[in-house]
Amino acid sequence: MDYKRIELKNGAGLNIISTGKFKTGFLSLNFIRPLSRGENAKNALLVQVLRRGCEGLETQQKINAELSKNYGMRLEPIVRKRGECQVFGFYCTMINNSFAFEGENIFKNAVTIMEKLMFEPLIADGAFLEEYVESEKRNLKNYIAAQINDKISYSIKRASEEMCACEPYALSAYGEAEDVDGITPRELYEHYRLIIKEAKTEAFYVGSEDEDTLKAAFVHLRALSKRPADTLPKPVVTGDVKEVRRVTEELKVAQGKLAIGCRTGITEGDALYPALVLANALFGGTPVSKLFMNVREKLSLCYYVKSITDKLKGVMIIAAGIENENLDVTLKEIEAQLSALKRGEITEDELTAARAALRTSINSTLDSGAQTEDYYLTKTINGDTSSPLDLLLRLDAVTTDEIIAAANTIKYDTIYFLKGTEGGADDEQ
Amino acid sequence: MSSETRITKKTYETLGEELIRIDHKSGLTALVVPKRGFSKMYAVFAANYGSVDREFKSDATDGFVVVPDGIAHFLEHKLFEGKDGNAFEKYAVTGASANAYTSFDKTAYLFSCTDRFKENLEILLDFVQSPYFTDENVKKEQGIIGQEIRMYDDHPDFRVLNNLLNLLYHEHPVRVDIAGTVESISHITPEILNTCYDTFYNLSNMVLCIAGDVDIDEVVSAMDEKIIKKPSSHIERKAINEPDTVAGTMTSQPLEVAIPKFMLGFKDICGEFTGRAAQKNDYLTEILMEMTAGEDSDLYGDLFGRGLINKNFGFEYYRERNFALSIFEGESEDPAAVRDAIFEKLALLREDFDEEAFNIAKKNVYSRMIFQFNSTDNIANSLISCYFNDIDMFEGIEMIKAISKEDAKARLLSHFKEELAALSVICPANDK
Repeated sequence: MDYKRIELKNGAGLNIISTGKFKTGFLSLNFIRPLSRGENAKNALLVQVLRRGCEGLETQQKINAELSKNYGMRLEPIVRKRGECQVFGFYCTMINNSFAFEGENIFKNAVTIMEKLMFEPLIADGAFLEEYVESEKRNLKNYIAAQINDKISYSIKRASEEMCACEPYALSAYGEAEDVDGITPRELYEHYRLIIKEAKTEAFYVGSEDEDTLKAAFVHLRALSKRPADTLPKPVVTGDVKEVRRVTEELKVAQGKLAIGCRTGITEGDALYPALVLANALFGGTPVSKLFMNVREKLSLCYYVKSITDKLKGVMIIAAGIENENLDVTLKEIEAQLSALKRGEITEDELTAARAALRTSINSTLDSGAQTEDYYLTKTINGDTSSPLDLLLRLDAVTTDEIIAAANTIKYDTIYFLKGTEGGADDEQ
Repeated sequence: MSSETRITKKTYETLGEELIRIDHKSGLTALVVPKRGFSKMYAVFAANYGSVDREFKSDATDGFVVVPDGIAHFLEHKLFEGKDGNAFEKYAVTGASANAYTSFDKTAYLFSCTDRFKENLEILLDFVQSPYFTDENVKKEQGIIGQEIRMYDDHPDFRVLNNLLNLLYHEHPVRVDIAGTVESISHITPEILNTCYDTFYNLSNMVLCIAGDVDIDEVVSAMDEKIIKKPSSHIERKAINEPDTVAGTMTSQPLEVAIPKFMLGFKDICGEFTGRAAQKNDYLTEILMEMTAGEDSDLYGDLFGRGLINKNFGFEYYRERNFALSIFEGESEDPAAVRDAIFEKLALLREDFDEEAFNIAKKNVYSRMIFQFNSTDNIANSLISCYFNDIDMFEGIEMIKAISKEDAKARLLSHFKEELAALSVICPANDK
């Protein structure tokens, strides 16, 4: 599988990951901006509004009919947070042309429809259509509100927000409901024009079509004005914590959710980064990690317990679902396991396991079109083009001393607990 | 049972896939789909045994026995533990990622890896064949699974489905959560686990499915070395007397959600849940659902325009060994209005069956089949149900192409009936 980034004359990136192993293709077209309060809601709303209609395909139903004719290709808005950047645009998955009944060029149609949606929007009087903007504002607000439905991801999100309260990292990729309210169709259109002119722009394709076909298909992308030099800010990274904060919120749920926000201060470019990847695997990244073996298997306190890191931001979250009354004993055990790791109590078996698990997970990345795209997209934000296999080589060179050093960068910042209060007075049907 | 291992190979040209079937001398069948160019190798060892198998008799029992709800899932957790440590620890050494799952009708143990395949396969075959249940380790698991059940109790996606099944079915054990309840699992003992194990973990009731760039000789030799031949057990599952009506038509449960979640289900009473007829029904039903409420349909456009559904709207035909239902699901401030609109659209389709929409829907269902063959995980997992339920997934794309308008119309009339439908809603807890 070959990765190549072609920089177009205007500075936009065309990223190709050529592979014949899939029966389908994965395509995406993204704008990348620094996360900022207010603009995040606009960007998230923008792609939803663009998906409602464009020149020639004026309604969502007409767009969907076109996608359906092309063998039900999926073409949807995608909004992501990567470090302190917001990435927004469209992605599309389609079957390869070789599977078409009547020789249709499904790939070319995918690029054409995607570009039409992105670059030929419906405009009336210097503004987007009010009907679409208002309807998508409502959908976006509902989406933001519905983030509470999945309590695990919700508690992890809340822990990050509390920990990084004064940093862009606390911002959501979808914005805040109250910011969505005030956006007018005209303001959104003006914002769109700014994005089209200035935002870092990266297209991706994972599949079997070749470079020339891809270049030829992206007509609008090539015609964009010259992009300004890359101005994406580096995220705020700190390893310092003055005091550990505790935040508890109550929700009418059966199971309490613990999420501990930690700082490591280590990001992908740092020399200690591969050691931190290993430290995380040892601590809570696998089903034989210290957390899993002790908090779950030995003490039976939970069903899930894990630690996850963000390689762009230098933070870690430790998460577990527990009974309310077990909070203290769980915290004590997690701390005991972290201390053991920091003291270098790592057996040869644990180390072998962590290395082996990482090898499998990293080697598997390129077996999925979507994962492959996401991997390289994150890389373009860093301006780094190393492959997953490069990280494997770096991991091989890590020593135990480095792992201990990396473990010792992990510092609690915020202990967040979503306390379950199910069975309250107004619980009746 | 033959005393020789037989290997047969079938090539599917259009799809560009190959299926290798190993009828092992032990009585176990293995199915392998070689995926060249993929790094990941994926293997699943599964038993045709799930949460609905609560009443049965076999050579291991004394007449019919009723076992505690949730025991198939409990057994799945427990098999990871052996006399000499747990399977996760063994996989820790090789780096494979191991897991397991239990559905209403099957239990599957799996690993994925990018190297040391044979060694990993041997670990899998070993631990699934080495039950080890003690009072102590059963008790420990009651704590862990108790937390898993509590997690599902809060999860709107699980609750909305379970409530729907309770509306559609009167007697069928699919009414009970796969994991059981904190109460039901408290009755589980090593003895009952052994009875279930001896009954269902029999080679004639199991299959091994593999997808990835593997060496067939290694698969056969791992089977030769590890498969323990046992006399095949005769399993008799108690017949389920499920009436051809629904038990209820509407339910609503308050939970911590922002917008109400709903599932509209149509109970399938056709009785064909395995074999070629069932497979054809899968495609017919999906085509019909696509025509009714696909993203390009008038209905979808109208509901979306009126703010009655959002992008989370979808549908699925859900079939397992002895039941099936069609589900339309989503989030809506007014689920009853969505249900009524779907009813109306179905009535309209019965009057006027749009041929062009039918052809486009067919293309959509066809494309979903092709997507299935993109991942080793999907392939191996689909193979299990196909094997147990006597279905050839590779024939799927040709079967879809051959489906006629008349077939679809007939299915529309027999399956999508209002009197076989029910609506399950999860509403926000603070809504009074």
